[in-house]
Amino acid sequence: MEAVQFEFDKRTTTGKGLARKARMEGRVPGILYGHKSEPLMFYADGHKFSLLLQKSEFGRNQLLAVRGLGRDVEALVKDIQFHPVTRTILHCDLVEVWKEDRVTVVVPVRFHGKAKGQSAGGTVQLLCRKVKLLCTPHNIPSEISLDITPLDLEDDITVATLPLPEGAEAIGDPKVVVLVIKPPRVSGKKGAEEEGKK
Amino acid sequence: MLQPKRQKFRKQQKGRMRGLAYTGSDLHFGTVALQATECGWITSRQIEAARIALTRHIKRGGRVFIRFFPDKPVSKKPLETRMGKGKGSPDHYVAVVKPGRILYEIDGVDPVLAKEACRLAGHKLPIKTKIIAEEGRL
Repeated sequence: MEAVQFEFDKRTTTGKGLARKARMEGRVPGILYGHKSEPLMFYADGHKFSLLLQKSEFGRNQLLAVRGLGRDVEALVKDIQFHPVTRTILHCDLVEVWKEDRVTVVVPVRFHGKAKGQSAGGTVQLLCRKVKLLCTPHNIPSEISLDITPLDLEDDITVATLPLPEGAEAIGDPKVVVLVIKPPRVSGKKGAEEEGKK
Repeated sequence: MLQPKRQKFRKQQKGRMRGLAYTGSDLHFGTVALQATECGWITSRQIEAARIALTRHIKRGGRVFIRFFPDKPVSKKPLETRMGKGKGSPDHYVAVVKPGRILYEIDGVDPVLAKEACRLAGHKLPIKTKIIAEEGRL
């Protein structure tokens, strides 16, 4: 992934009054921090910043080349606070990253194709929409794409069997089921009869 | 209809609905959701009516998640009773909803169908709502 340049303005003031004033002017207050450097406070153009993240295929995991803060660094979005109704950005936390460091990111899981089990009446249940990965900042995948065509009824994909990009590692219990093809429900009487036959 | 199984106190004071719903304001289980944009009390009957509207429209295949619960008892005095003589007895339960609260989420159905179901469900509620989708959401 290539880092996208974004211009930030330095911020020296703090407090909710000034933050509200800035938000009224369309600027979003935020902070940049990292384990090897001093934190830097900034303002970002709210509209441009949200557009950048929305249009990027990586979404929140877009690598940013921070400019205008006196220190040219690469950063990832660590946390964003949204307005609950309007979904405008209220505050943003950026974390400084280095090429060689491994970072934890949350990547969406998507599936494509029609499973064998679906033709037999089964339904696809995506149980984990997002997976936590450990990888270097330049190797963050935009999504984890699952090809479900060979899956039959009651087949599943677990965290351990996820097709991950090179260098990436899934965090969490490897036994957790990400996707399963559920067999069709058998209604009351029929189900009871079938169970009786067995 | 939804109501608490047991409670510590039978009667509650009215309370005020100030601020926004910062918790329970994001999509977690479904792809399409109905979100409150106003505050209000939603009775368990209304919650049930909206749920029925949702499930009837999506028919089969999908799953509906109810993200709010009527845990506040509302008391009422009997008809033709003079004022005074204490607070009335519990009559029904309501959910206190603030702007931003996700009310219902739908998963496993076509987004167009889910949005139409949410529109129908929204008409059963006494507050203004909006439909939100997971797609393109940060």
